Amino acid sequence: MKGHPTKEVTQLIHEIKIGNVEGSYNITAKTLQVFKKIINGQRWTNADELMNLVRTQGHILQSAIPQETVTANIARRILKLIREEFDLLKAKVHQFTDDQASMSLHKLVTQTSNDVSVDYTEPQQGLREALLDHLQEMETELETSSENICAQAEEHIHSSEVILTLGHSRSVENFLKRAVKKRQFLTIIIAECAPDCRGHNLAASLATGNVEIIVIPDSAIFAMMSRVNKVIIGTHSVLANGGLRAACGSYTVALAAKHYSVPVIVLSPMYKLSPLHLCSIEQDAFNLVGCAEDVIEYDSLASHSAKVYSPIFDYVPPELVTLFISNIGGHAPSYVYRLLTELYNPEDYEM
Amino acid sequence: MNQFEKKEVIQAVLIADNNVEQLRPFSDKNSTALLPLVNVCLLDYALDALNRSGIEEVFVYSSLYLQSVREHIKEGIASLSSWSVNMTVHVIGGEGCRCFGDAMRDLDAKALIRGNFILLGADAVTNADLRPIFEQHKKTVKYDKGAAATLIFKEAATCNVRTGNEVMIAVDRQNNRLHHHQRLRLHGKESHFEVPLEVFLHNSEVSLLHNLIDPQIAIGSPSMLSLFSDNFDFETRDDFVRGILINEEILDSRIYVSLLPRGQYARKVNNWLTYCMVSQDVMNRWAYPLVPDMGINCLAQQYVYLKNNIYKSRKSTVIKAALRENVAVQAGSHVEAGTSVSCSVIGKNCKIGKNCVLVNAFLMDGVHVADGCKLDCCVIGVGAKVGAGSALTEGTVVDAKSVIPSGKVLKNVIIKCALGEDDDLVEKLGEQAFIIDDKQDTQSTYASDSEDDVPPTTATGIPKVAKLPPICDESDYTSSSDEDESRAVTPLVDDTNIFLAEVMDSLARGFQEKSNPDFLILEINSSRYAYNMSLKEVNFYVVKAIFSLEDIKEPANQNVLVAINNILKQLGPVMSNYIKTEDAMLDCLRALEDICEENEYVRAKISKVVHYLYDKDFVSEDAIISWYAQLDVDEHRTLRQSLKELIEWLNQSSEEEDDDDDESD
Repeated sequence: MKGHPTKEVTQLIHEIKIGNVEGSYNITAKTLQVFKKIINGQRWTNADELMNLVRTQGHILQSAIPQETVTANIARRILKLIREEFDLLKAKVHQFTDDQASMSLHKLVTQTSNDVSVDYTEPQQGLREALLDHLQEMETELETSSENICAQAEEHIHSSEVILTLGHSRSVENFLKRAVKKRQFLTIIIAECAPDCRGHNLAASLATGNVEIIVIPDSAIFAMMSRVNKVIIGTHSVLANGGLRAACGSYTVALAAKHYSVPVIVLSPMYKLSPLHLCSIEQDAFNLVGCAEDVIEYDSLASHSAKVYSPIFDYVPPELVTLFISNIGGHAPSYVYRLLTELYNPEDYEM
Repeated sequence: MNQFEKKEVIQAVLIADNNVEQLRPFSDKNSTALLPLVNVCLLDYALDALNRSGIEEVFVYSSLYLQSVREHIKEGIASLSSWSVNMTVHVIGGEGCRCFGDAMRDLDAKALIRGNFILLGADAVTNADLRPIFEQHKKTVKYDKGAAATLIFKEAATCNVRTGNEVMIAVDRQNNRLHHHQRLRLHGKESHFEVPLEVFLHNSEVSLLHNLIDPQIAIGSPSMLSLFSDNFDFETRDDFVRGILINEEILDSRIYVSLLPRGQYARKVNNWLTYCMVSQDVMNRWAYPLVPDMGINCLAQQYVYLKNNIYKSRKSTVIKAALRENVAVQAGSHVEAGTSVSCSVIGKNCKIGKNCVLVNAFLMDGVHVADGCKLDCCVIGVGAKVGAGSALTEGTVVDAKSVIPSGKVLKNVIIKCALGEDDDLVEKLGEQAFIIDDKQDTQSTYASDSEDDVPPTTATGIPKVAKLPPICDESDYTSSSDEDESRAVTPLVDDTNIFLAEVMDSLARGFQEKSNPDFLILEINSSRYAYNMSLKEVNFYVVKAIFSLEDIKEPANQNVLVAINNILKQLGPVMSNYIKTEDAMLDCLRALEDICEENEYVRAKISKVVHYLYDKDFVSEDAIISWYAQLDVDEHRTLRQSLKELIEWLNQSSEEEDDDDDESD
């Protein structure tokens, strides 16, 4: 690890580790605040220094809690932001000396190769202020992301449809709540998602509305799928190929949906998009294995001779996903790569 | 006032030097709190657990190795250990503090503890959330001013491995008050437990729990410390518990119990066996999130988690070696080709040679193992070197910096690199390797804290690192030799055995108290229905029970006939109640056949015994003859021989024409 973590970063890591901060949204919001503080409070004289700073802290966050990809995503977004702001400011300065608008097509094409080696060490006036403005925008975007996703509920859910979901995702909860308000005679089937059984919480939270709710064990997913119109699930993160790293059980749902040709809609705000691939070398490390006692009691006779696994995530390949709904609209899985290039600079994929 | 209460900081006390002798030779040189378990110090596990529970102030109490503990804490804070966030750690200690009780008295004198506090040993490994239990304790204190402590236990399958941490308790179901506390014996199983009668008389609902592990974690009230100060004979925590239970009224204090819910793990590392068990549990993810790949005690994650619970550092090299299951390999280590590793921990910068076999081996940092070694159930200290072709097995513990020459075969020994003052040398292996006596005799203090009638610990001494015997009795598990022994000692307890035991109890009591045979019959019948025995079995077992009475087993003057006569005079009606039909008589004789195998006195006099039964009309002539005919020729040769005369006589006396040749069928 290069460099030392700042106090805020240590604090954040600790809070996430002991579970005080949980849920992707909360973690993202907290991370953004931490980076804001770094930009605002730390000493840096030029963009290059700042980028190194952000990169270091991002790397520390990622190596400490690799399962939470959103922290690194935020760092990447900020890096991209710094680059853009720097270019913009530079362009403003250069506008008077070298009018870019009058460049020939040939010049424009060849120029990009030079652009890679932009000298970010040049100090720029007003960079800090511009960055803070943009971070404010990002924060607003973050806050409204859930609302923006919800707004699309009516487009996808129609009256007297049967919807199946899994576990308890906050995006899905809000999405369904909106749908319940607008549409009548909905049936929502919730797979409980053992061993945490957080599906029960979702059922309790939705049960207030005018809607029929059925909670089923995970084993009944396939049996119920034949009557389902749409599957709507949340995800932990979206990988670069459009695959999902989602709660354990999602793969079962997706496969069953494929068998009955039921569309699978995944709700994912933009900050969950990660430029990561499921690489084969460390395939095991991709998942997180939880507490053995979730599965079998320590008191039981078999506990010492059995090997117990309680995986937390499933990988769902992109071909099983029909549609992603993000805060900026719906996308096919094959379009994720495009979104990634818009969100992040390719140089920042590796932290 | 309310504002002060809201700002209350939960304090915790960690006792760093406990049970010093149990972890030799490591404990001879350094605090056991600094012993690495899956490459993280025990102290860090305890601090991490406290931090996760939201504790903000911790006192680490150390006496023997105060300086090294202090340095460790300082290093931890400097390197941003995960427990250093939001938690202040003070290291305190006193000279001449030799036991747990002294530490508590010292704490009381220093007056650092302001209210209820959490008390645990530095050797506790737990992922439990102590906050709810702490809140519960506060409620209890509000209700009962004399609540001195809440003890925390974890239910576990204690199976056939005893580590010295198992307890049996009697607890009131309604208010979780502790009424009886007994530490289970380290060696051998108890045949009975003695629980005072008052426990059941004074409480409406009492649970006896015998499958508990005592991780020695407690929530203490301020009165707990003063109780230690007032009672100078409290040396250990067990003394305290026993003292309070005995003198409940005088001391006006009570102890409460809390069991950890599912998903919360707690165990104590106080000898090499528990060291091995807890290491496995940590690697098997029972202590999640205190698992190696989640980064215990450090910010960055150090391991990649692979299939079969293998934790491998990215900075380690494993060349064509088999990591089978439950393995942790720390950074900078190097494992050569052809080596197989399972259920083991490899520390930082270790070097393992070619074609080694490591099973249940715990290597600390910088250990060098040369080619072709076999390490099975052993612990090897920091920087030790093991020569080529050595075999260290069955709980061998190697001290730091020892150098074991090539080709040694060592079983169940402690090896030190240099002789200390009070070490008894057994054998010198090399310049930096001495086998020392592991002082098992002095360990009796450990067992003596349970009941007085417990015999002093036998030759087995402190539990060593060992392969845990499988719990299931399936034959496809490879069974170690000592497991077979233990299985022979404890016979299968099924319904028939319980029934037999009950009948024997009833009969023995009936015989001694000369009670009415009718009552005995009633008792036996009720046992019969309780265990669902067929009539045939009842006949068989009643006779067996009668002949298994103490008087017949060991008859006075070795005259078994007199003894039988005495007993049947008393219990004859019971027997004749069951032995009525021909079939029943056959059952009766079969039972005798069983008895013959167990009791040599009866065997010697079998023909007389049968004759006696015939005389007293318990069995008929026909029954005897048909039984005799059924006896297997080869198996019961001696029996048939001794009965031959009797049968001949019976045949003659009945004056029936019979084929005399009884060997024919």
